[in-house]
Formats: sequence, structure tokens, C-alpha cells
Amino acid sequence: MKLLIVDDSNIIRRLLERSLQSPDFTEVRTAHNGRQAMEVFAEYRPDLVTMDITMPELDGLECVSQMSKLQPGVKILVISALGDRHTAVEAVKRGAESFLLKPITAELVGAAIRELFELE
Amino acid sequence: MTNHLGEAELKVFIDLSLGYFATVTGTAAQAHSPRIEFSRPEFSDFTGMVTLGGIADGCVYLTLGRRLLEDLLRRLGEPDLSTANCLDLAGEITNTIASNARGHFGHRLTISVPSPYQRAAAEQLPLPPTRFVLPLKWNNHPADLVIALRPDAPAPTA
Repeated sequence: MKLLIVDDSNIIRRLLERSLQSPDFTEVRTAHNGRQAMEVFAEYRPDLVTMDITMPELDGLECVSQMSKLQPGVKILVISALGDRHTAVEAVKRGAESFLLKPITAELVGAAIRELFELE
Repeated sequence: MTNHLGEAELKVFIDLSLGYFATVTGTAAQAHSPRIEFSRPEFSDFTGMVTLGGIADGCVYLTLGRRLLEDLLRRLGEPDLSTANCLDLAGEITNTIASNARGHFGHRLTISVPSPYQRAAAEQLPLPPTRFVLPLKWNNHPADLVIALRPDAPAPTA
């Protein structure tokens, strides 16, 4: 599987890369804002995307919308600190499979990914 | 303005700050008595700041020392303890706490992308004259979470 990690924080991107090291992921790419995420996505066509919301250039909710239209069936896990229900509902309406609230740990991310694929 | 940010609202930020450290590190932080500050603000080595909009107008910032950030980076498994990563983490923690607050105040509280600063740059920032300071301590490292609303700004309400 191909993984795309999208977050404007270098710390979070590196944490996710370390947390999601697995033989299941044959390739991992990252993006540090929404615009770069869409550029990478169009060419790379990942199977799974982890998506922050509050980012410069293009926010994560808009990315979720665009990615879901470009590649129906792509699994998108939104990982955001925005704690309101409205945001979580909006993310799912736009095509996210699931929503994980920051702060995150490696264990929480791993559990969310496992749950995402067990839903299939 | 002192009437605009009450005990309940301050408790939201205190609880979220303590929750951050407990979740990420497994080690509890302590909150000390909040205070209202009118004097020139003091900043530590690094400061992460987000601006608030929508139903509130002002900013939230967290000012922390390098040693706290380096300790926290190590706990996150991050070997690179550079200034760039300290700045990043300062912004990320602030953004997490402020954004989590939308769970209480609602989605009409808007949170900006975080801006990180080192001390010299933070000292040049124009800030509202009155600030609520929430002193924290994690692993014996002090930090201040500061909420600064503009004098005529409404307080965030759920």
C-alpha cells in the first residue's frame, strides 16, 4: 500500500512516519501543505492518506473533498486538533473515512489505522 | 475585560493543556494559579501563537523553554532537537490546545495556522494589554499558556 502523510508540522509528519513503519506500506510520501498534498496526490495516487486540517495554502477539508472526487475509494484518515463535532462531521461528509483527534501518540495512530482497514 | 473570560473558560484551557502532556508523554503536568497580567509580557526561549477569530478576537500563545521542548521531542521519539523543531513543536502544542478548545466553544471559534517565535521576535509582537496567564509545569519545566483577548472582544462561549 502507498501512504501519503499530510501535515504542516515537521514533527507530526516524522512522528507519523515512525508510527506507520510497516511492511504493509511499500512507499511513504509526505506533504507540508494542502497545495503540495494535491500535487503529490495527483501523481502518486496513494491508498491511504493521513490529513491535517489547519494548514497554509489549502486546508485539509478541501483536500479531502478533492481527493475523494479524484480517487473514489481512497482511504482518508483526518488527524486534526479541531475538537468540534461540526468539523468531524464535515470531514466525513466530504469523504474522510475516519477522524482522529490530536494530540496523538504512535499507539493511537496505529489503532486508528488498524480499525480503518478492519472496516472493509 | 476581566468579566469576559470567566473561570469556566479558563478551566477549559487548563484542562486541555494538562491533557496534552498527559496524552503525549504519560507524565502529568501541573497547573498553577492563573493570573491576570497587565505589564509587558515575558517570553521564554520559544513561543507558539495562534490568533482567534469568529466569536473571539485575540490570541493564545504558549511560551516554553528549550529544555522542555527538547525533553518533549525526545519523548516523541524525535532525535533532531534543532531550533527549527523546537519552533515547530511550540506551534504545534499551541495549535493543539487552542483547536481542541473548539470542542467546547464550537466551530464558530476560528483558529489560525500557528506562528512560532523565538524570544527576540516574540518580544516585538503587538499584544493586547491584558492577558490571562496559566502557569504550567511539566517534568519540572515551566511554561505559560496565555490567552489575550482584545479589550472590546467578546469572550468565546459555547
